[in-house]
Amino acid sequence: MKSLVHMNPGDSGVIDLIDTGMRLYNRLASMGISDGTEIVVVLNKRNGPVVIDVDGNRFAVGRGMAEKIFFKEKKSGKDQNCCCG
Amino acid sequence: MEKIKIAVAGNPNVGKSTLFNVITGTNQHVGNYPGVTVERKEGKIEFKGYELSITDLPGIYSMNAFSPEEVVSRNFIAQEKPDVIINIVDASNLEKNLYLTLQILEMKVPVVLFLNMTDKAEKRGYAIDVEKLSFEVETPVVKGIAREKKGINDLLDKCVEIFEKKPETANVPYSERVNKYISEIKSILLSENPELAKDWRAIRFIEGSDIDRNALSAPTLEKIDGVIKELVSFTGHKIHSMIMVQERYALIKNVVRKSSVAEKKMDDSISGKIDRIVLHPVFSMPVFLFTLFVLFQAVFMIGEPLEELFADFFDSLGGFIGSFWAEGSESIIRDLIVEGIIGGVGGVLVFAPYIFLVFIAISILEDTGYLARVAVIMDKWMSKIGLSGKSFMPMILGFGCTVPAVMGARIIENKFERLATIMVTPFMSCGARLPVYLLLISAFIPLKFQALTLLSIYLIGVAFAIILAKILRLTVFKGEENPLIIELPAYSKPSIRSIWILTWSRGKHFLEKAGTLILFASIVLWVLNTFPKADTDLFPGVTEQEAAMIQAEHSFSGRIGKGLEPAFEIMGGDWKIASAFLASLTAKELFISQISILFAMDADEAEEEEGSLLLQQKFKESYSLATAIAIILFILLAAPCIATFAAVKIETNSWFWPTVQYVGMTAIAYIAAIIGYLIFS
Repeated sequence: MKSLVHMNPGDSGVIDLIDTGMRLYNRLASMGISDGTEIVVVLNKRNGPVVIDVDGNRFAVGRGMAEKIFFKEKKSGKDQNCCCG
Repeated sequence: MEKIKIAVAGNPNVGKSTLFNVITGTNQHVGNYPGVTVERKEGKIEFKGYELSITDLPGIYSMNAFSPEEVVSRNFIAQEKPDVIINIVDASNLEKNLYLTLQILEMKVPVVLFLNMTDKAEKRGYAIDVEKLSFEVETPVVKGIAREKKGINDLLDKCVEIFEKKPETANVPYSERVNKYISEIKSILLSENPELAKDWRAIRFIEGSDIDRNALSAPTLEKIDGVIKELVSFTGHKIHSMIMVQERYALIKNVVRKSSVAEKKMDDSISGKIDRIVLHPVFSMPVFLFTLFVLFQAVFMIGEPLEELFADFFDSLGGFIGSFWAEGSESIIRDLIVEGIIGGVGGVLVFAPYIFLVFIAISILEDTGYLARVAVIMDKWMSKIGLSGKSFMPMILGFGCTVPAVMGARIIENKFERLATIMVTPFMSCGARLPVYLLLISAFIPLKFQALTLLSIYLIGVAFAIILAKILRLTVFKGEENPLIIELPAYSKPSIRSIWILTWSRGKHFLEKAGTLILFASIVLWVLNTFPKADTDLFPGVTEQEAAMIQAEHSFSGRIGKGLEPAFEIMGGDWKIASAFLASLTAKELFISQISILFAMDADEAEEEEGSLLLQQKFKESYSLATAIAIILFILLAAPCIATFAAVKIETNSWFWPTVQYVGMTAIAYIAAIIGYLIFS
């Protein structure tokens, strides 16, 4: 399993685990981010927030939060023609 | 006329404010919810023989009471029981939006769904069958485009219809097994307090929102926890919040599948391209600083002539009204009206252009979608001192004028970050303090160090702001860290209409609230400076300036200054300095006019070059460099002006915080001034 902070721009993946308290879990869920959600990483610069694309919506996720979101690795950005990043 | 109470609820960035503005026009009122710094917007219109009273709830993602906005919205719906709730949803983003819809429906309130931006949805190859959607969610659905005023009449018709017919509220069809547990928890709640026996409250327990726990006795809680434990072992989820989340998304997927006509296509539109530059690791900062520079310049370049215009207007108004009294018959009433009231009200209104311009600038940033990016770009830096990425902008505005900067802090969602920002912003040295620095620097500092000194003053202010922010966030504003998760809305063209409406109603709110407070303060100060009257007949042959000086010395404020003299002797000051400090607590620039009166100079003349040189001379004769440094530090760090006090009062919705700020900053300034004096003497 790989956490969101370790993903590269262009990578996509399906969320496998959100390792956080219930409040935050509910918060993310209400924004459309929960177990099984597919996301595409748009930007991931060192120290800055990770920008992700969820079903056409963009979110900036702080690094602390991003460390707690884990993925089943699917495909890397290099293998597909991703339009983002 | 019969009244229909309507609330508008919806996610952020779905056009909720636009819809509200389109329905109510300028006929709206902006205020705050009691006890919190959440904006409350209300408007009234007449429609088909009814008075529609419409409340625009803050943009939220859920009713889980995660943020003050969510608490306010939930309480509004649960306690004020609106007759109809308009739930606006983005047609191109139905899945995400329906999450909130389900939570509203759980509360068993009459809802009409407004399917907004159907044009955008169609462009993205996404179409929804309104009737099927309405059937699936058991709720009336109206489609339209708020920005183009399409579908608004249908929407209001539907609201009236719901009010008149009072149809049964929708049933949210969660799975049987979850429903079983919801009923079980509900019956436990019923035995404790029938008021609490509601589906949605039972659901909050399953979700793990602990909002109602305090209201319940320990045995009841134990029973509920037992039920949840059973449910958890039954479903096998690690986090029990997951149960409701999965239930909801299963339902939503089903609803969307059954009511969509066309499949959604992914699009990486213009927004993605702009973001590549705006959020670029290298370019983001220059782009942001440039934007900020333009904004700052625009606000203060347009604001300054307007401010002067307002000031001139009040000067001539004062002169005009004053001329009603014949020469020599000037009475106390005249002085009160001209100096106290017109001077005081004018003092508020000169800020009005800045307030309006800052609100316009913020609305533009909000409407275009750039503001959300600003938070992202600056978060890394600002979070180090415990502030939000959005705190940066109001703090920079503080270099111009503290009042609009404090008002600008309302863009920060987190309560503690917003409070901390408001508390430290006055340390950012505003324009009104500059003349004092310039006067003292030119009097005491050799030319080649003048620029460096000025820069150091500003940096000392910034340093104090940073240190205080950090301390505040580690102590009193220790609220839980809100991990950054921000939606970045698609960039869009701002609507002039909605910018104007928002700016007008926010600005009006400021003027109404600040006006009374500042008027009161100006009258009090006028009294302090005017009474008791000195008998100038005792000093025959004095000039007008000398008479003013005698009056200043004789007045309450002069006496207070004398009383405070010992406190300022420690930094080489005297009663004149004490009295000028006292005046500067109203507005910083008054330091110069007060001290020039006390040096028996014409206060207006002191602003001119010749007068300024004379004043510098007097300063050099009376005080040392160390005292000048102490004065500078005091002016930089002491209590903000009265207008700032009023702004902080309005924005924090309390008397406590502006008072703490006023007293606290003055204490800090006093200590810093003494330390500064000791170092340089």
